[in-house]
Amino acid sequence: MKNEFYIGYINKLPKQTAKTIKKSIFVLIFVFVASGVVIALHHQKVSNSKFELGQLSTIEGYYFNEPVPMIKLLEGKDIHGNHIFKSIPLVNYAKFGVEELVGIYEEENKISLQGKKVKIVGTYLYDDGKALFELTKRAESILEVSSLNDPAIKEMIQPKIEKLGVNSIKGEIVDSKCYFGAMRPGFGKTHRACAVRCISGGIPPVLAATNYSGEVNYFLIRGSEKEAINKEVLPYVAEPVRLTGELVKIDDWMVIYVNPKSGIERVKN
Amino acid sequence: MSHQYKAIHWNPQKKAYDLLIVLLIISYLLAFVGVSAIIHPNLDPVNLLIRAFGSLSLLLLHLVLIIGPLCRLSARFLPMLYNRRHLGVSTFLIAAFHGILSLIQFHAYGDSNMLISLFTANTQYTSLAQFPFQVLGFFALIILFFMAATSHDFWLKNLGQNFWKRLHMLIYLVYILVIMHVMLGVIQLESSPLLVIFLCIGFSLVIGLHLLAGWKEVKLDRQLQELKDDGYLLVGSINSWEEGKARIVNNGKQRIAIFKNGNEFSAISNRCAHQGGPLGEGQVIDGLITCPWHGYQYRTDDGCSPPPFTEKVSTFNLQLLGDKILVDPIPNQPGTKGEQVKL
Amino acid sequence: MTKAQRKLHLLSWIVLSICIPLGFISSFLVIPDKIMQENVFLNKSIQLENILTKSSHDNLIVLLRSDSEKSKYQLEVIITTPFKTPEVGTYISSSQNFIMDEAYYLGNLGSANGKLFSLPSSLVQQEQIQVVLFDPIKNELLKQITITP
Repeated sequence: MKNEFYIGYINKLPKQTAKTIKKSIFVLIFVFVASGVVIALHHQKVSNSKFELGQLSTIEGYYFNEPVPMIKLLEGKDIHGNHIFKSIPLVNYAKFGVEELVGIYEEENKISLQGKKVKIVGTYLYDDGKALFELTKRAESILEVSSLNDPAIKEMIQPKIEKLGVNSIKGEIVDSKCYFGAMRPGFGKTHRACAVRCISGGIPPVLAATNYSGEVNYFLIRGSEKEAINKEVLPYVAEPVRLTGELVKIDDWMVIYVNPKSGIERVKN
Repeated sequence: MSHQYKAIHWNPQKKAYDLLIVLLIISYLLAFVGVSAIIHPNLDPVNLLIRAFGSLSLLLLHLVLIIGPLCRLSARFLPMLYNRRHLGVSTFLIAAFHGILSLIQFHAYGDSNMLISLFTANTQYTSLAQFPFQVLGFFALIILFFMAATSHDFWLKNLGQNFWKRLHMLIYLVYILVIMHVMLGVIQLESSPLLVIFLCIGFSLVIGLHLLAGWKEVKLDRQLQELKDDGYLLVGSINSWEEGKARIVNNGKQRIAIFKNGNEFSAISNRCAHQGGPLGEGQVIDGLITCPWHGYQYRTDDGCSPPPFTEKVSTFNLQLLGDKILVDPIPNQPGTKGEQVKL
Repeated sequence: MTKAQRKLHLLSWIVLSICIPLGFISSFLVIPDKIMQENVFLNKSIQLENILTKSSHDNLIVLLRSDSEKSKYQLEVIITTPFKTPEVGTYISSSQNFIMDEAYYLGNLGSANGKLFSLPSSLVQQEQIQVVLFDPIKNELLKQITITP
């Protein structure tokens, strides 16, 4: 070793140096492969959510704009004979909500979608018993709108509202589109910026609250005057928060009506 | 040994080096993506790539950072230093892929410009737990970009060695930014302690090796404070040299390398004009002093690189007193002949 | 390198050797705990103690439960591997041929492990009950299981 001298542009490694380099290469390849495998084995578990990207579906249902723009589909009758509906919130293409899109459509076509039967084309997102629908083709996703003439049907589709009083719920504010499928995972600090963009763009914010048995309950977040408070919740997205407000069950979704000035607080460790 | 703007002066060693870089990158990506796709088939493919490239650039950054001190501790690692800049540029490219994908995935297609969103989506700048970690990664990437862009010898020559060195020492700032980017980002999502342990091992290794190498140099500098005699520094007896090699002394400001080449002793600055490599740890090859880092060569008498190369280092005057070699601590102008001792 | 450069390098690493562990530890300590929420609003069903029938079907376990007086009944459905469909509705059908309009809808199954549905005694008195998992959104029959109370 004493007299060994390596010169890069001379294509020959001295003996001892070559030995060290050979060993180092083996160590490096082992470290790189092992790190790849071990880190991959220890990602956090990804939920079962799905975004049917590239797979367009057509659905027909009843449009309601409260608590958030959504389509209601008949799911069946319960044992008491009541009609049960599945509510599917609508989201727009990319990181946008549909309120503006629906507003423009209604103005251009001089029609209100509220309570109408609509046929739309787009993409499903779903997870954990909740489904959302993306209007992938934006305004062109709305294919047909028809009024309901039968008063019995009008009565049947009215939302079933159950007031549950004022409560405080601890959880994380997520954007419904990413959380329920567009991104996997679509929660937590690493996803915060994306959630902020989505909620800022009008995607309905949802409070995801995990209980002690590991189940997650979801609450659509609206202001105490039933208004959208997307901008007001932005500073609290993806952080541990406690929301206080009136809980109302509307069909199959829970909604929390929060005063944005007093009803949102950060939860410290 | 040239700073003209020819992209890369390829040689077999550089090709072998780059092949190894590619091999490491591919083996990591295959292992990571393959196992992730099997274990977590529902993971978003873009998120999978963001994670793969992010973790790979972190691993490469550690490798880049340990090569320097390893070479100071043992010359056997010098082949890893020879083409380290290609490893550095690869690290930047992988990190850039991670950064651009993240920027598009998390900030694009929304109601705000991507770059504005990067700084404004999370404004919890005063909270450690909620700190916008992506901003840290962004600044690390910008620094890496400037380092990668100026990595060619053309820039080293044109920016000057001192400025270039300082610019490239910003890698240390990058390192702390990256560690915090990881700690305040992905570590908060993952429940497994494994990433934390990996990171801990990584930075302990990097810091440990640098401190060890740094301490070795401090000790060496202390030993090199040789006796002064009539303004000259005593180097040692003419019998204490190995042929073609140098002994090093310290004039208080810089190290001087005194080489023996046959019956001839000559002294030049220990600092290579290229990247500041330790010439005194090099050897005389074909009558030319050769730097151990990248093989830059200098003539023994005047410290000039042989034509067509134009690098110059300072020479020093030597005196023979009995069988002892003494060196004048005041350097001659770079490229001017110094007084040699010929036996 | 010059002595000053060597010093700068060493100094940088001494500073980093303090800053990095400090940053590492302090950011580790502030990782927020996972927040848990009590069920404050839902009257969560409690499992009835008697298991009348239990059957396993691929990714499902279906149990029929009752109280000791056999005055209350429950259907418990446990999913081991979640379905990849927008909706998993749980229905009780009295006929082998499932027709959504003629069946009773009990509720939906999320990806959560198990769900309890109350059953009226009149249904349990039948010889056979068809438990049907159906996706009304995609009109897809996911599973049909016959249980004999």
